[in-house]
Amino acid sequence: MRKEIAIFMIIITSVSCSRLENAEVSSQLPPIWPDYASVTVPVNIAPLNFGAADDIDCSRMYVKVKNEDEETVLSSRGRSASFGLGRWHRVLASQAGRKLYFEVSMKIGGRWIKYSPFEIKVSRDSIDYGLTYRMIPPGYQSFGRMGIYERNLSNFRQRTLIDSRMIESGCVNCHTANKGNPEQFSIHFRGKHSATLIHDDGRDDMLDTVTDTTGGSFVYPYWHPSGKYVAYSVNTTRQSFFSASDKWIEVYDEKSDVVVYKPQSHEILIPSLAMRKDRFETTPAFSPDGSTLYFCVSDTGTLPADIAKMKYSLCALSFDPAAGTFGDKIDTLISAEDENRSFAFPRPSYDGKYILVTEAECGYFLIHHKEADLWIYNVETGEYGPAGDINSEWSESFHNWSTNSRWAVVCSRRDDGMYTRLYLAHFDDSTGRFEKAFLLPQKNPRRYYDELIYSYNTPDFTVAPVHLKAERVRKGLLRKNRVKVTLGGSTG
Amino acid sequence: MKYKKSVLSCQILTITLFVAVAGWFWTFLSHGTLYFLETTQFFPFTFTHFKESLGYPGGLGQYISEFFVQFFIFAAVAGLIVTIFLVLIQALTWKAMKEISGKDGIILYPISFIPAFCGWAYLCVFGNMFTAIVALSAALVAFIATTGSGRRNIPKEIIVCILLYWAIGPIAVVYPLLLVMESIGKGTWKLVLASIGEVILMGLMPFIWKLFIHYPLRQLILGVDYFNEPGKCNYLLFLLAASPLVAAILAMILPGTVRNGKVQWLSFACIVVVVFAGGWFFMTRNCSPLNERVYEYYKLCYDRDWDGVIRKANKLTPVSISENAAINLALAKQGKLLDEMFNYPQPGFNALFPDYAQGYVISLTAGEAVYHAGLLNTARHYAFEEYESYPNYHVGAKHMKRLAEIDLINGNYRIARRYLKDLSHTLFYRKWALRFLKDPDSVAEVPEYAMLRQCRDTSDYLYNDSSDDDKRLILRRLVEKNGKRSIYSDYLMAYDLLSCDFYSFKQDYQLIDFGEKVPEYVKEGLVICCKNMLDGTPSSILDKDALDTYNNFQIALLERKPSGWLKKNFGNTLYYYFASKVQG
Repeated sequence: MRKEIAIFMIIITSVSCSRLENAEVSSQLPPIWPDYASVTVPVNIAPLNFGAADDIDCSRMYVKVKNEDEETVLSSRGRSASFGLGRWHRVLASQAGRKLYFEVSMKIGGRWIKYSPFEIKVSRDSIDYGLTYRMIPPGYQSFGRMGIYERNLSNFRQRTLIDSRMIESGCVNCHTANKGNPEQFSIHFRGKHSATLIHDDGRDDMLDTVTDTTGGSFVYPYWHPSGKYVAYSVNTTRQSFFSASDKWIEVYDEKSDVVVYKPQSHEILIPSLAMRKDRFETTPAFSPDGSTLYFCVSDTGTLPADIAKMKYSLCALSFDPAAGTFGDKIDTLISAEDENRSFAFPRPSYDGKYILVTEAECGYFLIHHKEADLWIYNVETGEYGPAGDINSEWSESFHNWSTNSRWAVVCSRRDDGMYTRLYLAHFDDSTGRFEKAFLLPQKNPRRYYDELIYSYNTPDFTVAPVHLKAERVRKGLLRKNRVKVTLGGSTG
Repeated sequence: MKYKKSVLSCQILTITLFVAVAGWFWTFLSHGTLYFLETTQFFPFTFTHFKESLGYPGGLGQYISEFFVQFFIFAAVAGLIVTIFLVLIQALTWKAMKEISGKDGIILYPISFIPAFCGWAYLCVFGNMFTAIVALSAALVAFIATTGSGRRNIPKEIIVCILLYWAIGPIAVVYPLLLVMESIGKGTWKLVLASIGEVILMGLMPFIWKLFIHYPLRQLILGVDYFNEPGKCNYLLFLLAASPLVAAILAMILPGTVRNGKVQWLSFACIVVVVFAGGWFFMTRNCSPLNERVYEYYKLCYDRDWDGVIRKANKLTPVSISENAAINLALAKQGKLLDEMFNYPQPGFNALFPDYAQGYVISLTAGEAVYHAGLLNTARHYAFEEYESYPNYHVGAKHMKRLAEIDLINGNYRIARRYLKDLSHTLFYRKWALRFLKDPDSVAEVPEYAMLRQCRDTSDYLYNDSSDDDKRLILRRLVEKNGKRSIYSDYLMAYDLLSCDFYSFKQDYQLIDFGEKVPEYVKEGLVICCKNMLDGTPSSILDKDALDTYNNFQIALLERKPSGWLKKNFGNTLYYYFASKVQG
């Protein structure tokens, strides 16, 4: 019986191979999705499985992957391209620093077409263990089911860290770790059991972050590299709607300031220069050496009428972590006025050389801005400009660096204009720009992304699996007692 | 033989009566409740959705329930499905009663309807999901399947217990409890002990699952999808689960037959009357006719059955703001809003576009109103908020369709495509979705979409759609763009009149060309403008009849006519509405 099966398989294979030999040859690149042509990938990334592009009626696909020596190192046969995990990693490990060529043949309308091969470059730069991110249905004000998840970047495993169903609390957001450290992070919970959770080396503090002076809850966090401070913005957020068809919504602040929280003493340090009444300050970040606090600043105005004039500059304020004091002068790194653009969410690379920032026409909540792109600021030279091929014609918004500062993850709406997906891109230190971004790989990307009704949100890298005990968090939230943050003083 | 025939006839008569009443009730009286279940779910035939439903206790039951609920879009099919399930519960209960008690006397037969009536009452309650009915049916099927052969197999039962809890959730406890009763009925104490062990195992299942999944224990104990708010519960769930046991206990206690034939048939008739009358009384106590009406109005709006809305409004006086919104929309779609709106109670201007923040039930008809009134981005906002605000985190296919419609009308085909693809995985939205997936430009061939596209406001400005002034502003811009009388102008005028803002009314009146036929309430509005010293309203444009009515109303007020008399004679005038608003 086994012999018959083997003969049958040989016949089938030889028939399909002979048909492939007669395939029409196309000089074009294969119409595949996700578009992985000419991307640079980390040596430890999960297999780049792909299918036919949306409008291609492909019934069969045959893919041969060759190395620079023209040896076939991988192959796939089926309705889409799918590579075995173990074999893929062995090939990538052996081809680090080299290119792989993907020869794709597709059976479309009963005819085989052999396309011009596309290449990918396997970078020696590895990427962190995984990503953490929130998934939420795209919406406006109400929040339904959402959760914070962890994804292993070397395979396709996604793990739920916390889900709104688990904790019976409406909204979970802004899971922010200290340089990918799974043992030190902050999460906000909104809704009936609201709190800010600070998880620091096994200890959980549920904070009530509202004070009379700051007037609101902590919103956008960033850890000090020492782990002794967390910078937060305190925003009073509103939203208005556009009448026109291609813009829907504008989210803006009626008030926003930047503060620094000290987890050990539960005190807030207030940089008086970042709490001016005539300015909106938001989206803070510390430099990797901890001596500078970056944030974005705009003049106040009558909102929402003046929303188009709300343009945020990228600014810096010196910080002395030993004394917990701030400098007395704000430096403007990128002037909104000079560029007539707005900048938000600065993320310094961990090697201290660059700052990646989102840029758009106006405002700081840029996920709904189709024109939003990433720009990069060179800390040494002060030069800045678009961040390269990480951008698309649709919105690129929230982003973060890998801990080795060679990769970035960005939220992008380039696929359908509505659902935010995660793209990864390699940073080329020689050009100071990013190479072409690629969609977060999935085992069956077509099916996965087509059937996913959630958007990705606030992604960050993690160097190891996060140990978040949902039940403990739930109990902590249901207990009414919160650690009240106190005012530690105003400096600078 | 004759006796057997009589028994069979009685059973057939009883079940026929039940089927007729249940079918009539769910098809004609209470279809709104079932329609609402369909509105708040999105059931794609995708592997992902199926896989997700297997990941928690009760997920498979929920998946099966969702499969059936998608048919609730049609009143007759919904009635049929629910009736079949209720009859299935009755038939299985009857079989279980016979199995447990060893009796099959005719007197016991009506008792087997108790669980079916409990299921009926359960479904009448707002927020209760069809999943519980599917789950109870599955638990009864499991009992019959494992005890039908007459021999008990404990290892098999333990496996069934484990699988049943995973498949249908905590209602699975009915299965081992019935096994306990069956063991007692047989008097084999070893089996009783084993069955009690199975009950304990079932009781431990939520705790065991808690070790592997992060659902709150409360949800694992009370069910993830028995209510639209997971973990919440009402006594009907316990009653539903207990009802087959109660029926079984009664079967064990009561005699199956009575020697005296007449007494037997009389007893049967009495029990039928008690069970059916009690069941009906209990079920109607749990109905919520007000919610029911909102769902029915929503269905009529969704189906664009404007005559149906008016017919319904003429039959029963609307009492909720959702009903008002639906009625005003139907009047506006028929061009009668400014001639007939005061024929119905008008609580205020928010009866045109109720705020979505008042809850997702209200926003069902409100969402329809803002969409048809041309407030497309507001309609998008309402659709988003609706499908995000369901407590069980479901999303609704109808809301997805609305989002696709708005993007198609606005020409955002790429975004619409995403929703269309999702909808193409469903059974009843597939055809609609595929049409626009293949040819998005065919949106221009649908008169409703083409009209909204042509008339939409493309100027770029920000507004707050919770602000009443901003809603008026959007309507005014639509009127300015389109000039001639339209649904937008009628809504704008109605907005001014219902808010008793006659300054705005006067300004807006000048924007619209009403031609020869000025609507009745516009005429009355002009009279109020003129009589209330709003400069620039010449008395020459006033309609004589409207003026006469105004004068008569003033005289009636001066004569201090009773409020009932005023309402009877002037209740359908703007004057009466204005006076009642001024008097607070």
